[in-house]
Amino acid sequence: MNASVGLARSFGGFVARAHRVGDLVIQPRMGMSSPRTMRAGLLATKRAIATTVGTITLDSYTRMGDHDRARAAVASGVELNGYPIVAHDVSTTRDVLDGVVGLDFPVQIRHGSPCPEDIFGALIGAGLHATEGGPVSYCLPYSRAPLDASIRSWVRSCELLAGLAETGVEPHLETFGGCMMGQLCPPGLLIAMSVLECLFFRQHGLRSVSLSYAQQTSPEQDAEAVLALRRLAAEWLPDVDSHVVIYAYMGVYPRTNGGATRLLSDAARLAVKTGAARLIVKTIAEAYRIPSIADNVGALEAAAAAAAAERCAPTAHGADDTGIYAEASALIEAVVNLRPDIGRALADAFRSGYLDVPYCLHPDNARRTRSYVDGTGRLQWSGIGSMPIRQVVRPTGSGELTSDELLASLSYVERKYDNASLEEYLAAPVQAAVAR
Amino acid sequence: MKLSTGGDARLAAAEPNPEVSAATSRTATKRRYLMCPPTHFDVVYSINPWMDPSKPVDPRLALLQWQRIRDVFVQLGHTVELIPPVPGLPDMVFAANGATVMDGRALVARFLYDERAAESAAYLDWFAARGYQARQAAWTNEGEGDFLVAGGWLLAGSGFRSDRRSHAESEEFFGRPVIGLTLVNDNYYHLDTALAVLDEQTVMYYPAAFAPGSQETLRALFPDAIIATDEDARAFGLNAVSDGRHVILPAGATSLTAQLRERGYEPMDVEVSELLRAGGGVKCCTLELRDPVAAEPVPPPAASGLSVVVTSVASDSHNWNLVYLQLALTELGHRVLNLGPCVPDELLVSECLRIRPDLVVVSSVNGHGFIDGMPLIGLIRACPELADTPVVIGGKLGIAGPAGRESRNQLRAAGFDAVFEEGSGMAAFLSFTERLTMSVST
Repeated sequence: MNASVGLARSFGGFVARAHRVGDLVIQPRMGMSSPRTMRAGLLATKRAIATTVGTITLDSYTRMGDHDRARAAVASGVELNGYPIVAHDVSTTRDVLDGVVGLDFPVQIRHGSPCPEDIFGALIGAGLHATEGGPVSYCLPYSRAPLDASIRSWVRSCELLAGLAETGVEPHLETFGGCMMGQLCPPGLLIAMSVLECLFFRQHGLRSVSLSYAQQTSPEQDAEAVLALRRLAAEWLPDVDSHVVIYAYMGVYPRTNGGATRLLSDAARLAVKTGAARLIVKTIAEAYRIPSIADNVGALEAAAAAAAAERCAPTAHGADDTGIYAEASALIEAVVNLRPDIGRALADAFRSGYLDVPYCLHPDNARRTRSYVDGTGRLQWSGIGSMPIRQVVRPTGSGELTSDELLASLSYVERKYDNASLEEYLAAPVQAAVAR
Repeated sequence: MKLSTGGDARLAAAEPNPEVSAATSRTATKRRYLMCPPTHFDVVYSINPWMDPSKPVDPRLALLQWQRIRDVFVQLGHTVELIPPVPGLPDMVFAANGATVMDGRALVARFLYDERAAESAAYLDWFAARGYQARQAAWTNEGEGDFLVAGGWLLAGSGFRSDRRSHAESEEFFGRPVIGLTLVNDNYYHLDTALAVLDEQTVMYYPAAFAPGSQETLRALFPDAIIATDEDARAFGLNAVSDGRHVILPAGATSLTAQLRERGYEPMDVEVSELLRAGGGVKCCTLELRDPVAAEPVPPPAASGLSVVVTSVASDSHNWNLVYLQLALTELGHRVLNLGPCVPDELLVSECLRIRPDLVVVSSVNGHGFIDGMPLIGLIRACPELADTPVVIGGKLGIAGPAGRESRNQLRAAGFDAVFEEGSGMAAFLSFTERLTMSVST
């Protein structure tokens, strides 16, 4: 009884209710350093013509635990690239949320921190109970923190968050494992990371989780991956509340309005046709700058419209089984068989190269896998290092990309979507040669 | 014969050795071995009954004993290649366990114990850099510890370390029939501690280390085998390396030594007491490279390139700009140390002081390039050693689009040699690097 009451008041419960009635929950990535602008952004999200949840994305200093620099920036009025939740007073954050957050509008904190105890403490202090990340997904690609240290910190952070269940609300944690470097990571490893991090969350007390998958280069391959992810979630996490969240493309974004909008619409269609429950959008401003509130609202409404269109007139998903499920299963099984403690199993798996994220520079990543975009637009392995997937994957391609080939792979999606709007493309400003 | 006279030994010595009273004359063939110096040798864990972490190890003595083994090979005219030892991997000295190598193909080990797992990466890299068709075994497989080539067969041990499924995998990988042998005594946990191949037709082994069925197999395959006594086995006498004539084996295996001499081999004993504290002897230190694949690694790019440190600022978590810069600079012949994303200022300064680069490239795309770059360049320029080191910054430096001329001027005034904003930045950066290369080389 208590658990279901808790779930009803939670982020997970809100998404589940929307999913039951056929609504895709749409969510922005926004984060502004000024409390006033942050509140305006949340209100605009709430009022957008879409089923939305709110986001407060934190700034880079807070993410790195450098709260002194964040405080100095707040004091001197320097604008940061997100909301410094630890540097601001608890009362300031409560004022931002007052009258905005509620049963009809849950708010999630998005951060990117390998060691998030301070952040978890601050969000709990502000009355929130939904956030995201993971001991691997927020350590390897985005920090130099040792993986062991991140895992230890995430154990403590999960336990802190899970403790909220005693207060009558079911805390929610989303894994960022389905993103891993944003692009060029083949889907089998992405969905395995999502499941493994959720197993870690469950082991440390969470009862409501979401599994992520970031849109990649091929709609067919993406559909197969998300269906495999849902199947794996049912197999490995049958006893907790869970849903799948799709991230609109996280790599180099199209420069044209037409290209960016089509890419976002494809993400919304992917979510609907694979039964995902939530979508996190990107905006048409993504290629140039930190998006404004209006950019965000435009993206939320465009995604909601595309999702509605897909529901009314479904397009074929064409997801053949090319072995993504088998690849992810082999990875998950190999890791959980290493040790009963999932955190230590993850550390061992990276040490031995059982898990190895292509192109990730972190010192604890084995750095022996390579991947590329093949002629049909699918992500493929060209080198699998020591990952235990030789039985299910045959690496193809030559292994090392040149710098030009790397750029071509990184901008594959941008070119594909921009080329369809060629006239607009030619008129658009030139973008950085160096990709994000 | 004893080591002190090892220098007299000759390869392919067809003339009868006066010390040998045997009818058969044995022929040595030239071999190529891979060894790993015991630089980091220690006993800090126990994964076999010989290892006792509570007893101190004498690393100097271990190194001397290892050098003796290598010297004997070299004096016999064999080639010894070295793989660089990796800190934190004390058992890497036991190179035999790293792979099985035949016909240009290397099947790299998958170790049973986590403590040794990281050795595989070093072996994969070593073989790949030398043009071998190399991959890691899918099943637990401890290389020549459990796989020995005898005639047309691959003798394969299991029971303690290598997985039985690795036998089938090796058969498929090398295209040679595998003879599976089951080990039953944990003092002899690897096949190479219980059996040594002397030449195409002959082996020596310790029957009690094998299951009854495997003993029967060995009797049928090698009716003329030399049989080791309990004492020979305890002295690790079967952990031996033979070139067809000379048999280098741990000292103390008196019965084996006598039998070998009787059969026309030249036994050469070496002291391995300190290495044996980790459960290894002569063979464990020696991986045979059974083919003449290109001996030299691909040479590094021309030394005329710059030594470049690529880094981001402490708050920037982006990777791809750094991956791309490293590739682009490497292709132009520069040597790159890539510190990756989120590099603390102090780490960047200490790495620069350590390697004294010709160029430091700070790439940032999260919009904090300007506000993080200003204090960073102050720290770098505060070190007298780095006062003149070229340091450049580029990427997406402000959160509201291009930072503008004012910000660029401030960054240059603070000590950056050049500022490259997104847009045409990469071409300008490459042209800057080219000019720098020419000025450094003249």
